[in-house]
Amino acid sequence: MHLLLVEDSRRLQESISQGLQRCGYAVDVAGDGEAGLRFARHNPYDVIVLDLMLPRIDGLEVLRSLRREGNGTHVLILTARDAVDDRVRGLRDGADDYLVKPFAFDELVARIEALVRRRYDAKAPVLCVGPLQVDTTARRVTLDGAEVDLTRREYGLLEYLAFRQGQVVKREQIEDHLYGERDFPMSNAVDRLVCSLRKKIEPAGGERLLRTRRGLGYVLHGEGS
Amino acid sequence: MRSIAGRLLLVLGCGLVLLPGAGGAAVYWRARADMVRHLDDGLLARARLLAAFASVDQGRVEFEFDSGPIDVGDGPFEFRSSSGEILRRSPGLEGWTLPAPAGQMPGFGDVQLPGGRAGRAVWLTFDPRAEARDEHDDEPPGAAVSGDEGEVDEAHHPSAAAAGAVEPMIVVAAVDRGPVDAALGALAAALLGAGGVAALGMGVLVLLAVRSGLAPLRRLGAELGGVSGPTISQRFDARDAPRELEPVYRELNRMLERVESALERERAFADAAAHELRTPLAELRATAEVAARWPDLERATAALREILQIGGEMERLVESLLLLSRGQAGSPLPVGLEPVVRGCLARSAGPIGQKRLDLRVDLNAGTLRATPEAVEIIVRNLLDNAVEYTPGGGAIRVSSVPVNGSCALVVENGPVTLAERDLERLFEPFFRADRSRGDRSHAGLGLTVARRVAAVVGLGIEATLEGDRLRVRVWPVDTGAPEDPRRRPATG
Repeated sequence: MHLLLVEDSRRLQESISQGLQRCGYAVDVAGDGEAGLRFARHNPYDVIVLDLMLPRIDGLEVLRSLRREGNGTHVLILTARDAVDDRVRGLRDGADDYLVKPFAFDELVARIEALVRRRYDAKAPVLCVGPLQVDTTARRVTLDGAEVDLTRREYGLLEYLAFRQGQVVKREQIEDHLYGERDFPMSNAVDRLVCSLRKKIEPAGGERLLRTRRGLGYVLHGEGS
Repeated sequence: MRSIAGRLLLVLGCGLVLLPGAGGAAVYWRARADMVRHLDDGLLARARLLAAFASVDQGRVEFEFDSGPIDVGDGPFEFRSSSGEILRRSPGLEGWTLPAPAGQMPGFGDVQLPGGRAGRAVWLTFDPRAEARDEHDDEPPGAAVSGDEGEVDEAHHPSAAAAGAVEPMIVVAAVDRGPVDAALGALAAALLGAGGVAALGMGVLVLLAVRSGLAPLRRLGAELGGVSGPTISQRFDARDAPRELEPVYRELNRMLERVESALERERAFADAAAHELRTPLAELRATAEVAARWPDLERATAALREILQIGGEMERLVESLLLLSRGQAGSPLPVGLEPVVRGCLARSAGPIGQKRLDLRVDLNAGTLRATPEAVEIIVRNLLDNAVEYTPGGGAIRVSSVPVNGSCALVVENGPVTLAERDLERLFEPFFRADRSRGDRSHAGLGLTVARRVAAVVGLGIEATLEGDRLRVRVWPVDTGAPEDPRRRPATG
């Protein structure tokens, strides 16, 4: 999943982005409202974590601009403003969630997960693709009940495809969701990632779950799913 | 605590009892004096009439009313000789003696009449008419008496001299004063009754008037009792209040405005302080949580370093808040600027070097008269502010300039992106004209703290814009303001 963190505190930028990356998210960081608005306009983020008191352009103005432009990315406001008026204004201006500083990191991650599920219309945190089960909360994958050991990127790819199971996903889309602005993947990085993932979730003689549509992209599909 | 209602009731009650009482007493005594005088006038006239009926014939006292039916009026009377011998007594006085005369004649006095009745008497000395058996025998008896004292006029009685010397006599005429006393009693009863009813009625009216008059005060008290935090923005409505309370309402409303303004400032300050504390707390928590969740030595070491730094920043923030709330002063003395400035700049050497700031210090052994702690706080905050808000490659200049025989500290930094309107808010808590920095090591309290501390130790602070440079000057207030037409005074 690809997130945008718009936060002017350097320390929060570092700790939140590091933590979210450890959780498997690709995180872009913007230090002010202007950069945040520019990032949001040019990248299909799954969730935007937005501070309100930002340099250059206020967080609420960033949010209003995005909504005016038809950008429907889920936005979680992360701010020190705790007044009810502030929360109401933020939600009415188009935010999907509101979290007040100081916050528990687990709560931030849980709220981001919930917003990601909403983005893909998934109600349950466990996604089932044939014999494959992806627990998006525990970040645990099982195949026929046996746990599958995946790297952070492999898990991110599988989760993204699982959310969009049955749909053809382009390589560019996968790149956008797995790599941040500061990541510079090799041109065949996605192919190699798909290859290694396929080896782990499609054991010899097993069901083919991850298929390649030549010229189009990839699709994750399980029988009966 | 004294009661207005109690005092009013006491004064008005005393007035209502004493004034009508005194008025009634005056009316009574005036009426009594008039009636007694009227009674005395009648008694005197009767005594003179009785005296006119007395005569001496060859040493023998004779009374004309003995010789025929003559009306001598009602009431007892006596005739006495000058030696006190009873010469003649009215029929009703048999066995009863009226008091002897005392004092001047004619004299009046209260006496007791037979049967224990109260009476009024007059004592009159007169010379009885001397009878001379001549042509004047046929004159009526009253023609022999003239003058107020009832003395016999010898010019009109030439025969008196011829009759020889006549001893003066005393006539005592008395009258029953029962009717007069009854009238006076009725008057007194009427006065007391009317006065009592009037006093009672007035008392009720006064009670109602006092209660009604003090009702606005009670209402005001109840309204004041209802003032609390949530209702502090409401004002007292003086439209229905009595005119006398209008200044009270006006001053109360002004006081409420001041209180509301102070509360608003306190609330804004507390909100801003809470907000400023939330961010480092969030940093602290996020740093610790991420380090604890994915522990490794390198990350833990970096996180601990960050946490230590955040703790220091929070400590400075809390110190600043405490300084703002305390503002304590000590004994002022000349404090050399050079070592203080050098010390503060040494602490900021890191950011100054990283930003490649052009730093110039020209203090010329200047001093500021204040406490060393205050100068340290002011200088540190001014320099921290200058270093913080000067972009890379910018310049900072610290100098001292003479001001009216003393010295002022000047800190200039630039280029800055401030506008003239920002200067008004520069010393407000948590004001940041440029929030583009991600570093929150400064909470926007530096200049506020500097101003508050400066005010406590008698220093003034002003900020001006010189092109794209911010110029902050600190000077002793008692030396007068520095000469700068564009200054923005910021003394407390």
